[in-house]
Amino acid sequence: MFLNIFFNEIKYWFNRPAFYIYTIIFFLLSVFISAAAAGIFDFITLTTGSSKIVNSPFGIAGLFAAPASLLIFFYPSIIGSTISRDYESEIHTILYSYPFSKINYLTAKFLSGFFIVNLIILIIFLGTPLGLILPGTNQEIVNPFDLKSYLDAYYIVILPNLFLYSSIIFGVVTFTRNVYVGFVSVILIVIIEGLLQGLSSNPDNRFLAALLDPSGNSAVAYYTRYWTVSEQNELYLPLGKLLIYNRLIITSLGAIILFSIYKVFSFSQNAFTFSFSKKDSKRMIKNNFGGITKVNLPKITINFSFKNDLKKLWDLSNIDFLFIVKSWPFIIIVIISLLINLVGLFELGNVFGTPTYPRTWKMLQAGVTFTLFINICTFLYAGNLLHRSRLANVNQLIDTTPTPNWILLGSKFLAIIKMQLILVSLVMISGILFQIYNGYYDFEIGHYLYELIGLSMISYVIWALLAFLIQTLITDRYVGLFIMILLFIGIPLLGAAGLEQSIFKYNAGTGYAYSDMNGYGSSINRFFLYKIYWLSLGLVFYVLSYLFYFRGLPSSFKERIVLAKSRFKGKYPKFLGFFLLIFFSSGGYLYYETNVLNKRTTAKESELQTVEWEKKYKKYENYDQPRIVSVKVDVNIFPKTLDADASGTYVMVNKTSNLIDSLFLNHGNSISTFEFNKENDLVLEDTLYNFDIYKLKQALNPGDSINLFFTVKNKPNTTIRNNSSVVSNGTFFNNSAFPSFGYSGRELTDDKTSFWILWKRAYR
Amino acid sequence: MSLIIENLTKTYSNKVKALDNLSLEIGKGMFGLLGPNGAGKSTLMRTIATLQSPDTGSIKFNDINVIEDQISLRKILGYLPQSFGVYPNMSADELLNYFAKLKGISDKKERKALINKLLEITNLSDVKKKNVSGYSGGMKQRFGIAQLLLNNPELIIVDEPTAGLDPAERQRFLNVLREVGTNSTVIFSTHIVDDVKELCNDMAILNGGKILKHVKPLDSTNELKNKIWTKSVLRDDLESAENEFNILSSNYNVDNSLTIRVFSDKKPGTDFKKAEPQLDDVYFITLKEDQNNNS
Repeated sequence: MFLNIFFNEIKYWFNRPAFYIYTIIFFLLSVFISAAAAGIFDFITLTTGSSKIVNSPFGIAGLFAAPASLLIFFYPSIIGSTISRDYESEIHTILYSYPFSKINYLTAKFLSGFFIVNLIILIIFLGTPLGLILPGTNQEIVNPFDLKSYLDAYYIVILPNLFLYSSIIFGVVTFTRNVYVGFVSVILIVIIEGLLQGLSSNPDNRFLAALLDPSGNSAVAYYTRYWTVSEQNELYLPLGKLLIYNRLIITSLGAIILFSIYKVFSFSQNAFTFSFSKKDSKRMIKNNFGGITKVNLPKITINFSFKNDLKKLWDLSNIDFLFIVKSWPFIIIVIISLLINLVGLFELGNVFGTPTYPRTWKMLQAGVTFTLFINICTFLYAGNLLHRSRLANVNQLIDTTPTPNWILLGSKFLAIIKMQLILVSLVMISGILFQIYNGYYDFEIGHYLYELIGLSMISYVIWALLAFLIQTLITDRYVGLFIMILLFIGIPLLGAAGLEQSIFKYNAGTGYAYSDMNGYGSSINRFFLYKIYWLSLGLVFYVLSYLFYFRGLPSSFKERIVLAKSRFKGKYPKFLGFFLLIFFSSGGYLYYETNVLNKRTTAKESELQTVEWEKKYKKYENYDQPRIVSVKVDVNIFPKTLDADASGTYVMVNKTSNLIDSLFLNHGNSISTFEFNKENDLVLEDTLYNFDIYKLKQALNPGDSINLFFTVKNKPNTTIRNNSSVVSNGTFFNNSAFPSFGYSGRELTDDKTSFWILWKRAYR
Repeated sequence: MSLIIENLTKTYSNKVKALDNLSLEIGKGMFGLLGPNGAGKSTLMRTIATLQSPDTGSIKFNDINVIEDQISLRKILGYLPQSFGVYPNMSADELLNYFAKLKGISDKKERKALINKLLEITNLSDVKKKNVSGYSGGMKQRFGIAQLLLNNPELIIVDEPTAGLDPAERQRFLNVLREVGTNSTVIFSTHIVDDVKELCNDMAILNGGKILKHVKPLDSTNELKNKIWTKSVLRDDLESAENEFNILSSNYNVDNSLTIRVFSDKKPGTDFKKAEPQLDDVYFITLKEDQNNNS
């Protein structure tokens, strides 16, 4: 009986395209991560390569654990769905009257899901070493394959967590019969993990964290925190006492949970639900007799004016909005994020131990913790709303009403925006509460509103537009959700693979920073331009969502394409053309401004340039140069145009006991002129490194002086780039604007950029 | 007020040809669409109701080209599918309100009056505050009628509505349908022959995506006058009887003998008795002829 159910589940999974999609994605992900760590992208981005061996036992634990920890988001749809699909298909109404035992049923369901997850981990197991030996990787940092490293990583780091999390999610889904609640519990787990690891940053808590952290990372870190590079390269994972206890605690906890599930579960139970109203029961009989009723309906006016359509749009969006707000996943996510935000606020009071005022801009900065949650809610509920009527099987009633597609689509989108506004206002509310708590009353409500609604909302809307397109095209809301999370996490990572320009990465661009002195500064223009660029593409996506909106019962995707073509008439081609026009013109200007008007170097080019610099000019390092003894400068600052120019004179004296015949002049990237009062030849003018070499016709004797008259001004500003050090409320103008003499270091250091630094940089 | 269907074809991606060059004209009143399971009834209903598009063919209702201009038909359409779900945690009141908004009834007061009247007609007033997801089958069908009537439709399509209803519910349902059917076109698909007999002034028999017979119920039984015979046989003699006679149906009697019902122009045997032709006979004869034509 057990084998029957077990193999049935396995067969079901092998028949699902989703399984192969997950497998391929995790395979590629693990190959990508290990290949990147081994330096395969060195030719387009910064060189990875330090003396750290990438696949040391310690390194494998990291490489292996990264995709495996992403896998936790799939546990609900793999482990949870083995049992939830019995409920969703309602086969449980037949199945639970059959003569098999609880233990067979539950263990078969659990182990089949567990098995599938381990299969995917096996795929990661195969992908990781493959990525390390791909052509193009740096074999100096790759050791030969060592099975024990992988097995250690699996048994020590991954398996106990897998077991505990699986048992939790299995229990949640079994009793609530709802995979979404399982998904929420995954988010809870991730948050608790994060909190526990955050705790361990405080040395006092490390012991406790090592013992209790379910991911085991704190326990491993407890022993490896101060390992040298060679220890990291050679030693196997330390089986310290705390690590063993932690793993035992976690595994036993998982076993206890499974045992409790077995004890509590009953085939005749109902789903576990919360109810806040008292249940009163009474006998119900329906009326079985009743003759002919006259059907005399009151008169109604049916109104299809545009004004009424807008009213309908608003009304329907309220209903969709209430659906979101009354659902448990949303409520839980709101509570959690509020808690985390408040905790974060209490942490940020101190700057190097000095208490500071809870200024509004600081409250807003702390609010960044909400970003992930707002986006997760957006991705989740875009899918929920778009697929809701089909999942509830009420689509046949709704789709035959005379409500046009743009209203049905629009009401859902509007509901998502209202949801985002509510979440964003939580930042303001928690900020204000915190300020009041600290006796600080300068709330700057306008500032809150401007940054939250004027600035951050644009980003959220841009992501929502993409989420809608994905969930419109893809009929499985879990696959759609997964793709959105993948894009959200993966697009910034492309920078580590060499794709640095923001115009090629959805919703990328420059950010904004607020200072009480300078406000948002002129960099905000660039931010807005990038947002206009991506917003216009997002609106193109919205038009596509309208064209492909799922209405009725199309029998194939081909039919949906035909339907989309038939919808593409009237004003929609005009909308599409308009948005595309904005997209390409703003994109064109951004490209031109970034690459043509101003020189842009990739990180790789920059690194190579630093190498060249050292190779070409290090020989001049120890040459004597005169010392500047007097500086007279006139500086003009133009606050309205954000320009500055200066002219001045250096008096320089040869304070050495040698003759000086060459002057090595460094100047910045500004437009400058230089004139010495002694005859000279300009021997070298390196415009890339802004390094000039002047040969004096007559060498400078010790004690002699020479004057340099220079002018300097910034390159012209563009609407989105400030090339000067002048800001609207002040300047950062200092002597670095003026020339200096001699070969200055600025060389590469030995600790080259490791892959993890690139990873962290991507999520800055 | 007529519905003109011409050359409708639909093949699903699993190669099943659900509609096979189907043409039909339906006028005002109650029209019964009779056919066995898998005949294509639901596909036809859904196609008229603008939920599906056919591969070829056209549908016109009055002067609305249904396939091109779906919204215009939806304004005057009332549709009750074979099975439907509802959003959880919504009462009949709230859900009808939602559907009324979707159907374009913008005025709040008018909506409220209409909904209360509909709940009264469908006998749901007592339970209007309870969640529709907790309704019994009969109550849910009544709710289905209520949402159908919201926009006072000219074209009403109901797909197998009485399957699974108890006798009281079924009767009540048919009565309501009769009342609303006087001023609109009602297309009623079912495999329960009695429904058609009681209700419809015109009908068609559908199988394998084709219209096999389009006839008024009364005329169809008149055609069969003096051609239907019954006889009692023993169970063991059934196989030979099937070879000898054109048996339409066979039913067990209390004493385990079988009464067979036979179609024949002339009396097939001395122990046969003449029987009154019923609509079931028309149904079985039509299906059998089609089966014979295709074999």
